[in-house]
Amino acid sequence: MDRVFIVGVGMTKIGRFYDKSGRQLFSEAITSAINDAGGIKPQALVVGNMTSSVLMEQDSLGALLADYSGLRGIPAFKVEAACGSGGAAFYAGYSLVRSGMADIVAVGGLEKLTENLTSAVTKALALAADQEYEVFYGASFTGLNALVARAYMNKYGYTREDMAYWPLRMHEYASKNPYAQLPRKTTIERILNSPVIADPLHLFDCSPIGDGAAAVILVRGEEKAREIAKATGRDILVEVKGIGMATDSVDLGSRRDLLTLDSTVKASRTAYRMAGVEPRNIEYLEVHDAFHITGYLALEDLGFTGKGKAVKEWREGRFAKGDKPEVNLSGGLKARGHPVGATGVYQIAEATLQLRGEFPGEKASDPVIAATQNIGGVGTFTTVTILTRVK
Amino acid sequence: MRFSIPRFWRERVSHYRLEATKCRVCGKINYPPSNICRYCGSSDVEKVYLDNEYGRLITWTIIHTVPEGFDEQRPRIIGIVELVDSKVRILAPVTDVLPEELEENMLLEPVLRRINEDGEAGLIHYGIAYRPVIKTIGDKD
Repeated sequence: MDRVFIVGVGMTKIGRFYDKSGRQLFSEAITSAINDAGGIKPQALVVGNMTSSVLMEQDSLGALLADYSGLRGIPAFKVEAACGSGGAAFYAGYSLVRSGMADIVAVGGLEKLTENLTSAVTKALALAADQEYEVFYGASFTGLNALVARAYMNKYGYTREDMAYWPLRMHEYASKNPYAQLPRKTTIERILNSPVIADPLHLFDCSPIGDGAAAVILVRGEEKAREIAKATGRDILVEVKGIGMATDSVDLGSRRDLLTLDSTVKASRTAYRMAGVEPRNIEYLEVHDAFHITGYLALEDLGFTGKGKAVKEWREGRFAKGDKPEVNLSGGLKARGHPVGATGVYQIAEATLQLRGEFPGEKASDPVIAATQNIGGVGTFTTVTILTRVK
Repeated sequence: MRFSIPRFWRERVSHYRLEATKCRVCGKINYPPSNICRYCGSSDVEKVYLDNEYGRLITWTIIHTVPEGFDEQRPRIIGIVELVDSKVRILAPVTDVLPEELEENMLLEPVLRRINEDGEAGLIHYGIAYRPVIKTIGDKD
């Protein structure tokens, strides 16, 4: 069985880029990933993106981005799984390599949001939800997450202040991340007093709207990976040891349990089994905290703590730098930013840099096993990836 | 006009009468309706209607940043309502109530309301919203 390795990563800073088009941002990210991999040329490109049809008014994204990345002619296509598009694109790209369809594959993510009106972005992001039975009534995507947040807070007796320790810590980490959209610290008071978006979620409980692109280069076989590592002056490899994907209903009303991300439970079990690891083995973790509630649910449903306990343990200091696992040292979606369809690729790029010891922000404590969790919708899709450092 | 007329014509019964499907194999009610049971995969399903049931408020949100087209209805209250008999959960607007009056498990009744309109010349969309059941003196809890 051929093993799959990540040999190159590239990211743009996340932000508001009025001076750059989507294709420009993407070409920057993939060029730095290709350079990071010693200049090898990908044989196929898979792109994660959610809103290009609506907000960029652009389809044919795979071909467009291949062309403007100097890769005209190779197989290229877009994968859409709402906010989980990046993870799903990685799942597809991994499959191409693992199956032998291609030896070298680039997986990229791109989202361009900020040049549109907030109401138009709100509507585009709400396309992740059920149009005929949820959005029809005026529900926004933040509103749907707010329904889950209130049910969780009511059930376990948590206040808005209890919940606010997630964004607080994410801002602290992001303040050291040169790629972060919000690289500044904040306070509990500022979080609590920020404007309401969809009660009980306020602005600082939510990830920001931002543009960004990220890319990783995958190769098949240890020999090829060693060759690239040697050429780029590295003595370690990063291997994709496990990957799992699962789905749930799009609508919230028909969920088995409103407070469990069943897709995360299933995807993580698949990924753990494939990698031969358990949650207690994982030292570094990037989770999908589009809202504080989804960050807390991720910790519970990935198996790191019991139901209803994540908020209490987080506030007491668990999952911080120095703990096991260390979580979201990038600043998470909350403060690194959430360029929707690119986010899953950012997480994998960041975990790769942490395993290499090359992350330019808050560094993890020399991890060997890392995991990423990327969700689309309110847990409608989840992709979980397990990466390991190989000497 | 931005919306497809056939789409809203097609969905009128599920929006006005909460048309759902009941699976003859596993017994579960599917709302939104589905020709294939979303819980067991059987295609042996029959139509049922849920618009005559009271509901209990499970959770709610008060949306201030609304999607395009709902600007005049800000802030908008959206809830998940669990119907008292069938236990089906419906996402719907909660109406005729102030945000501070909302509480978990409050008893609600369905009411047909205007949801949105498609510009000046387009269709007016109606659907089911839920409002608190008003108790009068002498009512039992």
